[in-house]
Amino acid sequence: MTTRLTCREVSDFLMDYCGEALPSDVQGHFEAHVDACHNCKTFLVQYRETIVAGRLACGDDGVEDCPEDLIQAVMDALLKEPKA
Amino acid sequence: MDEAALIAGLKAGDNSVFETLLRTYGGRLLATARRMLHNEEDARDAVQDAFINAFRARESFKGEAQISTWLHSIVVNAALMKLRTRRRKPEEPIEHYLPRYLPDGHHTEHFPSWTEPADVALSRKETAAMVRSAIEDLPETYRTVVLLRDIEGLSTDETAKIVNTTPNAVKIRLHRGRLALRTLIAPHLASGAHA
Repeated sequence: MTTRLTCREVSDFLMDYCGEALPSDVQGHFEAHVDACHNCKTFLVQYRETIVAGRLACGDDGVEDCPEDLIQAVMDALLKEPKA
Repeated sequence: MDEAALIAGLKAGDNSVFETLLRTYGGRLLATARRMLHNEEDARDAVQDAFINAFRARESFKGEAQISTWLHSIVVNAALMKLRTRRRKPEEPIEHYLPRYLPDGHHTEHFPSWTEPADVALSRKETAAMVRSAIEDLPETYRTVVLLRDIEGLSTDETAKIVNTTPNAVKIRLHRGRLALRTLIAPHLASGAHA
């Protein structure tokens, strides 16, 4: 590993960096690049925000009750299942 | 009914317990199936298949995980089975959604900052719908992994087991899926997008 990372290498390490799984010797080089490279700093912020955006966007569609007709269909199917 | 009573009833095949589980967790499980399948009928079928599978496998439930976690994994498996049996068109390549680089390793493009944090932007229904639509637009191989890891909260190892691949392949797909998702949502969140 050279001491200076390219933007491509920083991009390759984004997931491990965000997951706090980057080896400590690489982390220093990663952070040095991001501190000096405005484009990579923006990209890192947006990578993190993308994960948050996915969670938030999908988090609001799972709160409704199970439809009654589906409950009935499942219970009808279970009644046909052998008990033992 | 507490978890211990639910487990006892579940293992005994008590239908009233299964109905309680459906009423308690069914809505959330249906939402998971909808996210994976994008088809209401298939999503309902997946939930039904999952509960039948859970009923058949009830005696093997050891109680090491919460019932909700166990049911969630069964629904995810049922949804994936549906996906696999669908007649699929050839998967779209993901490369055109990934960042590009100059020969010296620099980015080829400049990334404008986004106007506001994701939690603020996502408080608007239309932005949330845009992000969901972007997730749907991801090639299926990547969408499935993004959904399982980032939305459903499964671990890398759990995801690898479910999609029948290696943990390393899951990591690569997740990273590429996130990069592609960023590309898809960026034009809607960048400065000037709401001007």
